[in-house]
Amino acid sequence: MIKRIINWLMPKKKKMEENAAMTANLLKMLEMTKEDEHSCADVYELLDQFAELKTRGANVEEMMPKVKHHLDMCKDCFEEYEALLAALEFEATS
Amino acid sequence: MEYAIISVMQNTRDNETWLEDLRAEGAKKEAALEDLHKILMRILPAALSRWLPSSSSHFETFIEDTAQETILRVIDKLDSFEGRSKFTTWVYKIGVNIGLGQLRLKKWKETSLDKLEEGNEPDEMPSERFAADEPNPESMLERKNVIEMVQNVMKEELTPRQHQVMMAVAVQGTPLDVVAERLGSNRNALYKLIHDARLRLKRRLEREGLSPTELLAVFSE
Repeated sequence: MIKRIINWLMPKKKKMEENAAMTANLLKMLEMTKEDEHSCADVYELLDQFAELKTRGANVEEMMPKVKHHLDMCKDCFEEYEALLAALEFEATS
Repeated sequence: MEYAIISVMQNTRDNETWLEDLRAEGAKKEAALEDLHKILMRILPAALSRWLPSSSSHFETFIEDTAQETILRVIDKLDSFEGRSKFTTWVYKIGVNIGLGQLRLKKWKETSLDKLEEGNEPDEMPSERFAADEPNPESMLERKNVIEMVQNVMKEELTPRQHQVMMAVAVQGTPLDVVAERLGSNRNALYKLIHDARLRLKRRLEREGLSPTELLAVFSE
């Protein structure tokens, strides 16, 4: 019985895998969603301070949890944070 | 030698001096602008080479354009600097915002918003952070049911615009900057729209007696 079901589903397997990945992405985001979140503008204002504290070894995730949460949720802002860290690390080592 | 000079320049200006020199007129301002340009031309390649390899034929032009635009924005926004970081860190923040914004738009410029919603991407998958595990035969039907239920909830709860943006950004991983440019909006407004959409979906699931965590478990079985 299970074999028959699998055979019936096989042509749709690839599409279903894509849908499964997308649905899991969405559910993960819903799981992480909070009532009160920082916006991109809020985080942009604080990003230089956050990155500097991070490079100094501060526990910045605890000090600024809303910024950390936003960076976990927003790929655009996270990439800018990564680029800023790379800039500060280069500055510190050159 | 040049690196050493730049290093000295950075150390000889504190935040107040940067502001004073950039607000001055004549030679003092010109020297500060020139120093800022040299610093950016040195720092930006290190910050951005992950997204545009330095071997690219466009790299030098891209860095120069980004440095120029950064300086213009720094001058324009000088009064908004509040001193929460070093002045140069604040400048780098502006630089990476401009540089990555340009790179995202360039990378996705040939892709229409319809295709972004469908998941067709110009290069590789932009985000695999939450990719689901390979399904096993026993869980396939259960997954199918959850997928259909989530799709129905999205259709019922979200406005057409929320649905469109959620599909492109939260589901497909398209950069917010790219979707914002297509819709004539901005990143901040779209994040707020997505946050509102996520809250609506989460509350609806709660009303149905479901939690995202429980549903996610179906995809890790």
